[in-house]
Amino acid sequence: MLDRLGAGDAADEIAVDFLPVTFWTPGALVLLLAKTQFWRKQNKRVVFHNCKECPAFRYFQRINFYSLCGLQLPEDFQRHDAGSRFVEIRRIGGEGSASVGELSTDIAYCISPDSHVDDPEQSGVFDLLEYSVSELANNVIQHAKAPGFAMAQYMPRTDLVRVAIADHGIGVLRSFADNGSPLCKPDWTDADAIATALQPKVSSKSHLPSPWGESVNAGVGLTLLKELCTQTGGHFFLASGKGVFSELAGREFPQQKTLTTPFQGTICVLTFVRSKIRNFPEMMHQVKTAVGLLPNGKEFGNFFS
Amino acid sequence: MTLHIQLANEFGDFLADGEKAGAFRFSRIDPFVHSHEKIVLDFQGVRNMNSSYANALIANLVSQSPEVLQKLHFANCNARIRVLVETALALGTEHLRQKQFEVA
Repeated sequence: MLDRLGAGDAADEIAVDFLPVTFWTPGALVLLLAKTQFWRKQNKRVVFHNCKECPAFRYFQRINFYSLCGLQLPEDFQRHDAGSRFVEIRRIGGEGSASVGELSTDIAYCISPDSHVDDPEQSGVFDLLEYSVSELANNVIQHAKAPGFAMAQYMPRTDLVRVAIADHGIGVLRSFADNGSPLCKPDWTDADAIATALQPKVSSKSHLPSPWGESVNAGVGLTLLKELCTQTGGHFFLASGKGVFSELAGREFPQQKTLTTPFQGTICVLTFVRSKIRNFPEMMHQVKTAVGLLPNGKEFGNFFS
Repeated sequence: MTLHIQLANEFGDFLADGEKAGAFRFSRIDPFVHSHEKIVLDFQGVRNMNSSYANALIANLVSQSPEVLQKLHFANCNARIRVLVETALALGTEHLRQKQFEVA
């Protein structure tokens, strides 16, 4: 889909036909949204065909897909509170968007209202989703220089929880380059930049002081999210520019691909197997130890009361 | 004298925004480190936190000087919070060691 949509970058007018589509993943929805925003910013004409004939027409209306694309279509249904039935697509950054905390808590609640409890033994799904969405949303706000979109979905049939965030910003490689990162080499490809961003303690901004003194970017967010996906038997996907990185639990090596046409911004899709999500602090302790963020044997007990 | 900060009063029950954590540390903690014997970050009422927030607040506080590490204390951390605080402490002490090495 990234390559198919990328073909639109060379055209003055892009037509998207919704009719043949019966099922959309969160990644596909936020990707099309980000691309549509990008094309519109470039004054391209974007035409949606067969919106109303699409089996998911009302669902797309209700999750605000069309309105976020800038298309106001009359609704022939009463809007009730989404509750826990579905997740509306949320805008990240820009005017009128919710705070990272609110947005992340809302999405986690929609997917798993029953696990919004204090006991970590029962709140694993909620905690993991809240944490994951907030880390990805912070990345958009701190690095993309353009708004993004977030969505999540749980499919009982496959037991998969998917979280997707896409933006039409500057992408991973340009973030390293524009921030003058000492890690960035002149001959770097998008794949090089992505592979570096996924290493622990690496951020395109970690060498830069912030207005508050030291950098606020420790560069551990994406590393931990990738590990959390594989720990739950899931899948981690990140694409930016022409680079695509994909890691599936159980596979020895991640896959890297090169797109024919670049995707201007960044898209990240996290997939978790819900039944494998357990006590979140224990999962976090395990992945942090695995990537060397919690040194073995180091004791901090005397700091706590 | 103790500088006691109730984080839930400032940020609610989910601590998620690294930029806000950095700004808060800069204006509400850094200027008072020298004048207080103890700094208590109290997580009463905080249910969850992310790494961005923990590192911007705690790792960057700890990495400023060994003095901070001797004064810093964390109260009412649940299990979710504790694992993130411990990582931020590990990152902060690592940065501090690197700084001391560069100075030496």
